[in-house]
Amino acid sequence: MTRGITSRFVLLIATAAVLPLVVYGLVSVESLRRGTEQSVSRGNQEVARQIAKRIGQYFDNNVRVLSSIGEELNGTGLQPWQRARILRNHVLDFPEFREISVFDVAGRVLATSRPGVSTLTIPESVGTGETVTTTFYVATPHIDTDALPTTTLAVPLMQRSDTPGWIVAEISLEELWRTVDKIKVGNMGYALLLDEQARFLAHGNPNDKKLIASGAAPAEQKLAATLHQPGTAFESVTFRNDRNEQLLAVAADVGRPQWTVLVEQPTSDAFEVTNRLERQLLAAIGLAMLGTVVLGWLWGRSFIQRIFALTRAARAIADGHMDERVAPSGQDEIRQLGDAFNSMADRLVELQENVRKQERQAMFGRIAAGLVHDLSHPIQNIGNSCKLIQKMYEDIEYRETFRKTVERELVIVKRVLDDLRNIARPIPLERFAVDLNRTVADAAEAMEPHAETAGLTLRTELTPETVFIEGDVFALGRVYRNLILNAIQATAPGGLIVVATEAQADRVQVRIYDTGCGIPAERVSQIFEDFVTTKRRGLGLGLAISKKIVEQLGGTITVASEVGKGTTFVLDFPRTTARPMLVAG
Amino acid sequence: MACQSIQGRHRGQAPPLRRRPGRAALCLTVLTGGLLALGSCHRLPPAPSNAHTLRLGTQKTAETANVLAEKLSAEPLLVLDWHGRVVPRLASEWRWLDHGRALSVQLRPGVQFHDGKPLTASAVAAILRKNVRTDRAEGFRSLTSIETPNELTLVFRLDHPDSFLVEAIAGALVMDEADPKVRTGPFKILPRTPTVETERTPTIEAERNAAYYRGTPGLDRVEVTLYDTQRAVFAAMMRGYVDMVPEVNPESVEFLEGASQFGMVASVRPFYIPLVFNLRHPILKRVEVRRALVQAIDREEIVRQAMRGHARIADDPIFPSHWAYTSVAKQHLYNPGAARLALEAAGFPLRPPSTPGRMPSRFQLQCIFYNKDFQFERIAILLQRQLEQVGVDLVLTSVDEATLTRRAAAGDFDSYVFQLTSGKSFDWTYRFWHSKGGYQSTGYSGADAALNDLRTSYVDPDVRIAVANLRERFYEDVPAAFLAWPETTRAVDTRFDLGDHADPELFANPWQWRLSSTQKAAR
Repeated sequence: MTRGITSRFVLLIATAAVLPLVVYGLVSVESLRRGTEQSVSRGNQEVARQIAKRIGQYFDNNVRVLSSIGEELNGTGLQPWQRARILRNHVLDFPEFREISVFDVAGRVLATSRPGVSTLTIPESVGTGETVTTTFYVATPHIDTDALPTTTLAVPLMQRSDTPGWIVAEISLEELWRTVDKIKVGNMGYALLLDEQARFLAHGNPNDKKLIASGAAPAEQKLAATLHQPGTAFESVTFRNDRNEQLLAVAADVGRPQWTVLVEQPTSDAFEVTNRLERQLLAAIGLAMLGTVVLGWLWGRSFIQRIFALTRAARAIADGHMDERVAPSGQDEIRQLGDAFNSMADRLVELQENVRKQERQAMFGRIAAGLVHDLSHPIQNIGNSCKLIQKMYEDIEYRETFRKTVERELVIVKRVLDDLRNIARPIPLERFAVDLNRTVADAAEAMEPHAETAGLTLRTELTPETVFIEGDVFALGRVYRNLILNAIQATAPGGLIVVATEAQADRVQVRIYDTGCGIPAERVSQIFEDFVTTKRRGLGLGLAISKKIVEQLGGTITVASEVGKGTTFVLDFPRTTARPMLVAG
Repeated sequence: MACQSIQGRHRGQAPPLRRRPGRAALCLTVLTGGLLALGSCHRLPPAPSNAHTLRLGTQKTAETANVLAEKLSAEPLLVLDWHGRVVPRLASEWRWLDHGRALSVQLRPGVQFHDGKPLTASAVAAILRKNVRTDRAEGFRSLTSIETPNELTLVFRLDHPDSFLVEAIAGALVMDEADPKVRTGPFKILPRTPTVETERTPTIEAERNAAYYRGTPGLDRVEVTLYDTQRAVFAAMMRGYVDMVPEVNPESVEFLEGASQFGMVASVRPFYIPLVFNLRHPILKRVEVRRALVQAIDREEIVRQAMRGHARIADDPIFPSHWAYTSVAKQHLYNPGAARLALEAAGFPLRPPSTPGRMPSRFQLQCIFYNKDFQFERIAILLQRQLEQVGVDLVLTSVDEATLTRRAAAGDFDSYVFQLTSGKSFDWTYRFWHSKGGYQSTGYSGADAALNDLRTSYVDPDVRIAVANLRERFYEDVPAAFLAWPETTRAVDTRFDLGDHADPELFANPWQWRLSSTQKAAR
């Protein structure tokens, strides 16, 4: 209960103080994330555009160089060796050129950088003659004899040349690898270059360069296709590569040639700042929440500490420590509660003392009344007999009657006194294996005359199986006798009393039931207490003693009763495998 | 790498013992081991059979397959380390006897051939007697007999003192070519299945020799696949078909350097690229012309522009990593003005072209070069441009390997650009540049005396003096324009560790090749 109050108190503080902070933080994180995504995407897209522009310039420059060479060769009447030298100088100065050759419109080689025969031709797809209008042509990169991508750049020499034709150069795309390799985006971002068939020409990730040789680019092919789809606005895409890295990709079109530049950056890198801020914000919120909860808890505990003290004092009094009190502090309602508790405890002590006094008086009255009842009759009989013996002393027969009467009444007095002594100090039992049926039969046989006198039928119903329990024959006999006597006294003449035994696997039961008046339900739970009896007179010790004996023998005694129909006592004992010495012997 | 491997292969190229050397064409074929060979098709190598297999991809040359197989499976008695020092291998020690007329070699005990038979002096002697008949190493020319006083001792008898014998022994593998089991190396070559070879079949498959005396090899298998060009090997590595490329072409080195899955090791190779002059040419026989031509060549530009900086300028054919090499030596500096004056003084004024379409020149020289390596084409074009500056018309002709070697051996050239081995010993230098070495047909004899001195030098001080004198001779009477020592870069998948890196020679310790520790942990 108090914990519930504390928790509620803490929850209230947390909700009031932290919830707005959490909401504010989440809104901030979301805004930051969106802003960063847009910013990173735009930034990367700008990088991609710049690379695409640079690649376009790369080809423009080469076209310019080749056009310049072509004009130089065609317009200045150079000797063949001079033409070859010019071409070779360019091959030396521009490492990406593996070969440069000049052709006339018929495709004949006019000059080549190769010391031997030119390996180049005019690309078939551009056509020849005066219909050519293109400013340059870039062949689809092909895998050369060394299985690496190479392309051919062809520039027409149509307009300003005396001798129309083509200047064709084979370009190793390894130079483009280096251009793309130099691009670093963030810490882990890189650029890629794909040709018009979406095959890799360059890959900025050192560990994926093998893809250039193998040409595989499944994810990037889709991106490039999206980029070139008419009417599609390509901004950025996130996808997972074959290493299960999530990447943010943007694309830019080179234009001419129709190649695609992709910039890929792991999202962990792209959004590193956002993620870091997010983590920091969440950590701050978490710490604030934790701090609030801890403070609330401490405050709450100090607040209800006095309630805890009241609780402890109440529990102590409930446990019987009637002198327990609280030390009131403060000036608030809990102080008043503490004072009230202490007053209540004082009053409770007084009331308890009164009750004890009344109980003692009642108990004394009951004992006295019982003793008077139990002893007055035999004492009166003895007194009457003494009076008669004075008159009839000469009568020998009467003297015998006198002796018997005095002895019988003294036995009764002695039994009452024994009962009192047993309640105060129980007699130790001697436990040994006894035949249950036999003890029951002996007791029933002894009580048979009493039953007949009362006009009752006493019947035994014993289990045919011989069963043994660890018991004291004399104590058991006393229990049976008490119970049968109670049944006789509670049953009207003509009634029936049955004493039965019943064996189970490891238990054995003795049932004694009668067709007597029964016990009211409200009294059933008290009949085994000392000095409690349903009879008008008597000490009420019989059942209390019987219960103590049965429990000393490891058994239980229960009662079921219905007013007007009868009562059943059930004694339940554990069976024993031991046997009486006589039987075993 | 291929050139390096050729260095150790002498058999099959020389006449029998004590005979004079054969035709220079054969010699030149040997020297071209490091060059690119013409191939007919592109091959796709197989996927790795398991993680303990190292797949090596390399360029195909005439001898590559055999040489690689031998490097993996066979060993000599002695080896030369990266600095040219002799180190025992199958031998435990060696010493000169009889004033340099005999060499005693003590065998390492406990070594076994692949068939389980013990390595004994008599077995080694029988193998070497057979092999030296065809071995062209200079050091074996003086060999008269191989004696075996006991089962762990060999004595090589010479008819006259010859320090090259040790280097010759270091180059002679203890192996029977006819019986692949008579080898002692860390790997055993598996027999080739006589079926149709597919494009995914490795050329060489070798399994480890568990009884290898220096320790159990760290790999189960080594597979070697040959490709037509260096770039094709590079492409195969990019595709993940091979784990190691002994030589990455210079233009691909930068590309690979950023990749985390490859470890790169660069070193200068014991090979040099010269512009070899034919001294039988009426102009080139004049030493002042040759010196002028050398002065006209800017070797720095060649290294920078044609070789992308992956080379070291060469002054002569002495391997710069050799222990006897010193940086103090005369050098021809680039000086085109001086070259022009020298040529003028030699009587070669600038003249109009005799052939229409050619440049005006002092004289014309033919130059042949190998046509399958773009690097050589760029070197040739650069030489042409540089010599043009001093009025020399260098007429370039690209040829294939066979034509080049044939013409060079026959003296059918004015000059040629090629790659020659110096090796880590002086044996190759002697063989190529001594007029009686048998490997050159340039008519050069200017360094004969210095080379003879080197051959009879046994102790370090004498060797150093002889080397200095030899370099002096190459400076004074220059037989070629020595251009560059190319660097080689080895690329190895980081899943593998090649063990001791002290010796840049790839095949110095193949038994130490193993999976890297991280790879083992992953497994």
